[in-house]
Amino acid sequence: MNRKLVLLFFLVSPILSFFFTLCIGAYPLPLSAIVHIIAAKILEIVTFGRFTLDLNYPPVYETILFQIRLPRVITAMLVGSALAVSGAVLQATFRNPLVDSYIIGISAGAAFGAALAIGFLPASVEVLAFVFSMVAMFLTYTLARISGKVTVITLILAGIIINAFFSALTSLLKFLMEHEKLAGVVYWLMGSFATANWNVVLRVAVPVIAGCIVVHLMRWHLNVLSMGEEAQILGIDVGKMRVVYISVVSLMTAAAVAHCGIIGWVGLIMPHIVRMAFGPDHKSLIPLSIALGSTFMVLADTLARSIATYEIPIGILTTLLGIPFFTYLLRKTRGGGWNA
Amino acid sequence: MLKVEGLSFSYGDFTVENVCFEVKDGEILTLLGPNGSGKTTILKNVYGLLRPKKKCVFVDGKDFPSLSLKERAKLAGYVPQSHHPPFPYTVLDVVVMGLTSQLSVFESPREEHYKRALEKLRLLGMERFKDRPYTQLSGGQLQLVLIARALIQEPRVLLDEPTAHLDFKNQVKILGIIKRLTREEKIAAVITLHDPNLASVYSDKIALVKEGEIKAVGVPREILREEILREVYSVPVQIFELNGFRVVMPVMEVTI
Ligand SMILES: Nc1ncnc2c1ncn2[C@@H]1O[C@H](COP(=O)(O)OP(=O)(O)O)[C@@H](O)[C@H]1O
Ligand SMILES: [Mg+2]
Repeated sequence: MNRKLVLLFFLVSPILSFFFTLCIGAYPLPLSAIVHIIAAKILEIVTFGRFTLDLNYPPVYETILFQIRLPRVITAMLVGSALAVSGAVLQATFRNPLVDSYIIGISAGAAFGAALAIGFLPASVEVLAFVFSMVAMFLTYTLARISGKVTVITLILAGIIINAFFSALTSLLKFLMEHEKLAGVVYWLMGSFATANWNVVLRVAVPVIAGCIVVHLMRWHLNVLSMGEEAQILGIDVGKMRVVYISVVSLMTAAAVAHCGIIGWVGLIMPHIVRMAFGPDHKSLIPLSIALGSTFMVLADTLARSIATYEIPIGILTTLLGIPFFTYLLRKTRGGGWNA
Repeated sequence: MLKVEGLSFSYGDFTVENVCFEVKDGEILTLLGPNGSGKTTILKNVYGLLRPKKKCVFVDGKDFPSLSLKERAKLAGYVPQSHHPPFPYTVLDVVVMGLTSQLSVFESPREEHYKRALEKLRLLGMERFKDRPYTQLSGGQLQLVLIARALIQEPRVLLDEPTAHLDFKNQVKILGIIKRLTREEKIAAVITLHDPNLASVYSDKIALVKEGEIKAVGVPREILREEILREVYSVPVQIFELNGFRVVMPVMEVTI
């Protein structure tokens, strides 16, 4: 009973936080107005404009809602889900409770690829971000593999090295970059949803929603894959499955990083909170991580844009929240396997 | 029926040479030999986790290691020598993983699958632990869970040291269960053991392994002989006969 209630709360939390956060900002909007305006817009769209409702709200309401807040909130939710799911998948794939796409260097690789495309190459930002996230993943894994074995600690150490490597390369790009571009890149890298617009929503939504659907459909096999090499005797081609899951994770991470910069720790924390509340079965872990990731990100972003008169980059905020949590995990797992 | 005909394999400095044996459905064959003699290596080769040099393992006449992992998982279960839990899954969640080969990657187990897992747990007297995190079990209970996971794959099992880390009671209990299940469900089982006496009681056949070779294979009464055990284990032993079983005793080198 109690468990069911908590479950329900987790699942509806994205909807609650969605409406909550639309109200908040330098120009507060009343909830009733938001609901009316969105309902009217949906009615207009599904009837191809044959029905319109006349609402007596100031026109600025609609502008704020559709031009500023909605794209930003939706982007934050997509990125939150992407990062949380990526963390859950990586933790299962590597049987390592201490990793996410940030810690093992996927995000840093993606950021380097994106910066390269923004500053120097006439290539798509997302494509280069994806390519370099895969390169980073490959390098981390190769480095972590010592006499055929990847342990919890070697993977994290390799992640540190690859993070440092790609951060240095990205710094080099910034150093060489034209000044007009530099400010934007610096701000983007720290992680922010401030530049979100409908174009960004679309470009993040396609890979992230596709990735979430694929992972959700394949979620139970993460239980099996988390058994490591032993999964072979259960009938799974471990190497092939790892590549599939990691590619999906890289795709989602690259989309998030290419548009919203490096936002660390979310992928590490969210799956753990879900595990504590509902256990480690990926059948429930994946959908709940999606829900919790989007809720957390949208609330964190609300905090980032309303706590001070200026915006705090979201990446800084999540890091400050993530470090105590990581410390707790490190102690709980004793830096080794999982002993609940 | 599981048949191994001339299995050879090399790790570089360690080689397994020309291993032959045959296990009928309902029979237990025990690989007996000192540490590092190659028992695990042989089991892994039989299952195809390591690649034998040529075609040599046949299950119901089919060349087993050449089948896909999925097809193999449908024909045989394997209980590894050691297991390191990644997350505290429930006992039921672990056993149901034995049915992975019957699900597509886009499927999750359904009611019927959990029911089958529960049946196997009942068979092993572990039903009441079904919702317990499997990280909170004793060594013997964990072994039973992994055996349940292998049994659900039916109808052949390879068990690597099912009695490792167990106390006397649990050794007897687990071997008893394996014996009963192999008989009742017509399962062909290959297991590895360290204790010649337990092997003598529970096996239908024993294969003595030394340095990657099978020195002798046959029914326990024929195999457990002083000279050959002395050769395999490099320690002097005495054999006694008791109620039709052979009992192996070490010869004390110091007199008290
Ligand atoms: N992965 C490996 N690489 C190289 N040699 C190995 C490997 N695994 C086991 N060996 C060697 O093979 C021999 C047999 O090991 P194993 O089959 O595990 O013995 P047993 O199970 O009988 O104790 C040992 O000498 C061991 O050192
Ligand atoms: Mg062994």
